[in-house]
Amino acid sequence: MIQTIDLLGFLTLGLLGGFGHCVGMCSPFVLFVSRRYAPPDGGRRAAFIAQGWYTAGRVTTYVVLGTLAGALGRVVELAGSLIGVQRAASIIAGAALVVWALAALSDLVPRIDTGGSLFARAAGAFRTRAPGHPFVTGVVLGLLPCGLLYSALIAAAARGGALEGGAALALFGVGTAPALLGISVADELLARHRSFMNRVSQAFLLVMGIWFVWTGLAGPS
Amino acid sequence: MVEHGQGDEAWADVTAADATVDAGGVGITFSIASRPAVALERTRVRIRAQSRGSVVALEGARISFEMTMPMGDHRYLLVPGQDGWQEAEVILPLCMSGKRRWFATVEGTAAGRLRTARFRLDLAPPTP
Repeated sequence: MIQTIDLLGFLTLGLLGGFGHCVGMCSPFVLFVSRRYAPPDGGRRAAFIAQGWYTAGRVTTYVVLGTLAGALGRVVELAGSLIGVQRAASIIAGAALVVWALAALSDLVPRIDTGGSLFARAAGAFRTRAPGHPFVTGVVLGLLPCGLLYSALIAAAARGGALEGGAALALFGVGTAPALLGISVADELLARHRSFMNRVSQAFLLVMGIWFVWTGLAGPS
Repeated sequence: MVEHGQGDEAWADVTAADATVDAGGVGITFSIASRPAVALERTRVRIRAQSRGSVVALEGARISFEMTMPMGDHRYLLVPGQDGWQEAEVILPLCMSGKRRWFATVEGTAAGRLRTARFRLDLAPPTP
C-alpha cells in the first residue's frame, strides 16, 4: 500500500526535485525560452515574463495529466498511453533545439552562405512554425517524458479524485519553478550577454537537442 | 536520493532472483512475483522475516525505493499476505536519463529491534 503524501508534499516534491532533477534535465529548454521569447535588450524582466508564461504552460499540462491520473486512479494505463505522445514530444523538442542552436552557431563557419542555403531556409521555416508564445511552448514541453513527473502522477493517482489530482500536479509544477527560474537568472547574469559563454550555451543546446531526439527515437532503453 | 560511491555490492541484488539479507540475526527475504520487474508497471513485492528457520513478525514493515537520480519518495506499507509474507504492489517510474537501478530499503521491528535490509533492483523498460 503506497504511503500517500499530502497536497503540500507535492509542492515540496517539485521544489526539491526541481533543484535535484529538473536543473539537470530541463535547463536547455529554459535557455531556449529566454533566447526565443525575450529580446536580449529586454533584460531580466523580459526573461522572467517569458519564463513565467512557459511555466504556466507546463503547469497547465501537468494539471490535465494530474486530473486524468486522479480520475482514473490508475497511473499505469495513463503512462502507457502517454509513452508514444511523449516520445513524439521529445523528438519535436529536441529537433527544435538542434535547429535553433545550429542557426545560432552557423555564423561561426565563415563560408556558410546563410542567406540562401538550405539550412537557413529550414531555420526560417522553424522560426515561423515554432510556437509564437512561451505559454504554448510550455504546454507542449509539459508532455516531455520525465521521471519526476511520473513520480508525481503515481502519487496523485494514489490519492484519487480528479480535483485532487489536478491540484496536486499544479502544486508540483509550481514547485519546480524556482529552480528553473534560477537557471534563467544564472543565464542572464553569466551567459547570455557574454559572447563566449553564450556560445557555450548554444553548443549545450545543440548537444541536448540531439540527446532528446535520440531518446525519442530509441525509446526507453 | 542514494549517493554515488556507496558501492552497489552492499545492496543485495534481486533483479534476477530473490535474496535474503541478515539483519542482526533476522533474515529478511525480498521476493518479486514476476520478473523482469518493469518500470511504470505494477510489481508485487513480498518480504518475509525469519529467524532460525521460523517466520518472525516484522511489525510496521515498510519499503522505500530510491535511485541516484532524485525521483521523489516512493514509500509503501507492507500488508500481511500468506505464509508470513508481507507484500505491496509498487509502481516505479521510468528515469529518462537511462538509469534503471533502484535501491530498496526494508524496515520493520522484529524481537523489539528495528531491522533494516537493503536491496537493489534493475528495472526493465516498458514496452512502447
